[in-house]
Amino acid sequence: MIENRFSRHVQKLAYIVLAALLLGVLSLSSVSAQDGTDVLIWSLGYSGDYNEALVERFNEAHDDVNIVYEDVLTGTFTENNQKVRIALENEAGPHVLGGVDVGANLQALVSTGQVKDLTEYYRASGLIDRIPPNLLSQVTVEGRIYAIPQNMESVGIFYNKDAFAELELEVPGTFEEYVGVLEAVKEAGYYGYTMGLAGGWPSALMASMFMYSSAGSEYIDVLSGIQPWPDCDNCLDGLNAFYGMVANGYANPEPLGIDYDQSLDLFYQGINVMVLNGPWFIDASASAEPDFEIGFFYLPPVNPNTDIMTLGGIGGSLIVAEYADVDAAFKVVEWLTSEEVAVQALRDVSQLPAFTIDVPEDIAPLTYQIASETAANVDKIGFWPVTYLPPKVFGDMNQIVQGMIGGMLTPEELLDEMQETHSAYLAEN
Amino acid sequence: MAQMLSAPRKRIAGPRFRIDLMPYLFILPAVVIYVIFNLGPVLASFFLSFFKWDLLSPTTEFAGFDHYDFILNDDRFWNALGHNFIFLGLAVVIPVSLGLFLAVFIYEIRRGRVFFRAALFLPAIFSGVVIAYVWKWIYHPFAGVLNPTLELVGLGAFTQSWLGNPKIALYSTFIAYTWASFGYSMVIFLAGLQDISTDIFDAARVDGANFRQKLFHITIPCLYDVFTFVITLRIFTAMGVFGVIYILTGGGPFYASDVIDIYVFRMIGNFEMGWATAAATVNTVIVVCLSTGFIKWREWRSWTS
Repeated sequence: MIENRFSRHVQKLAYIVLAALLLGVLSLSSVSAQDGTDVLIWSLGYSGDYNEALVERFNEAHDDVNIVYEDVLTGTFTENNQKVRIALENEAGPHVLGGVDVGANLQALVSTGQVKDLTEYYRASGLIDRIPPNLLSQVTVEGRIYAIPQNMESVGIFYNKDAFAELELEVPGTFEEYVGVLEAVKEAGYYGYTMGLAGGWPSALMASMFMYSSAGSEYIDVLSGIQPWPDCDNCLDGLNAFYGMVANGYANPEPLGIDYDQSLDLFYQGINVMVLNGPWFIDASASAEPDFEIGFFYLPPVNPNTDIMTLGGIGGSLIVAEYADVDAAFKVVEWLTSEEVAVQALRDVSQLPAFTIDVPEDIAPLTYQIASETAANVDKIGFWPVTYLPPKVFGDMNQIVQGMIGGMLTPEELLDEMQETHSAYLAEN
Repeated sequence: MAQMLSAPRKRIAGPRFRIDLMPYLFILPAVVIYVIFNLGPVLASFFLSFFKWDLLSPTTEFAGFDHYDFILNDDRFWNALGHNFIFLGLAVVIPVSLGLFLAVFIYEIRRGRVFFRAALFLPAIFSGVVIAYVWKWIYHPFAGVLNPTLELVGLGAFTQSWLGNPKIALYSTFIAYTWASFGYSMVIFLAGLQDISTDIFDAARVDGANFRQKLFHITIPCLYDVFTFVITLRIFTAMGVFGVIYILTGGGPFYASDVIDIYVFRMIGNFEMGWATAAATVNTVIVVCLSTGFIKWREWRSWTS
């Protein structure tokens, strides 16, 4: 009897709990519906922490659209591209994605119909007048615009200001002066140029920096397959200058024995005094807390008559997935490309927005210097080689440059090897 | 007669063919998992190697034997395959010999057997990625421990860029691979040793056999099947080596330590699925031929002796 009464009580209690749960779920779903449309974002093109801060600010300021942020792009460059392409193809990925690499990657996304044509949005929002034409050309495929360049980058030499002061060195203005600085640094017992190429990365970028700086837009023709590699004499001069960093003892020894991160440690420890890098290095070096001040200058051109000053270009672009809700997605894009957010990005993560090249003065001096110089030289920045080269050829280029640095290939042979690799790829595709 | 004709026929007694399904049901889950995760992908890979596909497009284009033609005419494929064979040659000798030597050592000692067994097996349970990063720092030309240690013991002439020198980069990665893999061989040999009857060793001792005689005339012959298993395992791992090399050198410098799996990975990373699967298929065929050929040879030797 007692057992029966007890079980009835338990049954009643279970019904009450179930009813409460059901009500809770219903009320939650109605709240979510009131919150507006969810826009799934995997990356806004900045660091993870800054992405999260941006999302929080957006969600606080908007009731009709809610950003759902997933920090899933945590792999390497190639892995992230694979994740994005597979997710978009299966309509299981983000609605808006920032930090996308343009070039072959964007073309592949466009060819499979995975990204929205933004041409009309560009016209309606006036964005078309705010982005420099050479950047716009990088996100245009067959006359239609498919991405929004988020930021501009330019690569240069970060140097140990304290070591320069100790050795009474001036920032070089010409390549001859630069070599003079390297000689002085070498004589003082430091290493000048930081190089860590084990694993390949970033061999192709470093060699390209010197080839751009010697051949200028001729190098772009080479990368695009318009001009054969061995016919580019200026490229050869650039390669010789790059090889000279190792052959003349200006770089740290054993560049093929250490990887990129290990080579940066040499700079932070004050063993090397110069490192070729981009604006993202400002934050990275601050985290490493070196006990010296860091300065920046552009690598003086190997060929003073070159029309391209340095390597860089678009660091990342925004795209909208083909399956996204257009109104909600564009609301996010509109906010991200607003003056307020763009300038804040420059203050917080040292990235010069592509859609507002006015650099505010109330930012850290090094950030201000790099951003101002980038803004002033927009038309003299050569884009990343992978923008023109298919990723496979770019990957091979990393290995081939290693071959030259390791003495297995001469600079001339490197150009021949690149021609063979590039031609073979183009013939198969 | 009519009665006889109309009488119901008796069934002629004979062998009854009843299939007992129970054993098959027991192995069914394993078979299903094997088909889905092993055989299926291998067959799909073989099938895909005849199509041009970028991994994402819903459409594929039949390419016939074009991908095989490209792969087999690519110097970098043969370069990578050659490195796999060097790796294989070393892998069936060094980690196996080291494993055997240490297993015999542990088997012979009376005190500290558990400690040595655990200590020597420890590297085998670490993740390959961790091992590769540890060795990356060991080999570091400025901050690594290898070069200073060589100098300390008077072998300064041998210090160098272990991963940057194209002549030795592959062998440097092999050392890391050996460190990670000899423990498995050791444990398998140890298990094999414990299966050998102690009576045989006792009899040999009574007959005055020394350590070398016991090793070559008792231990190694008695471990014949264990050797077959351990070497077959080495064939698989050496032909499929990836993680250690990828992290240490990425196949460089200038393809000096490239192996087939890194070659395939590069192709997949660039969405060249046709080339990647063709290369993977060729590698699979080689591994199957090598391992099957080796096992058959061992069986034949076992029967003939």
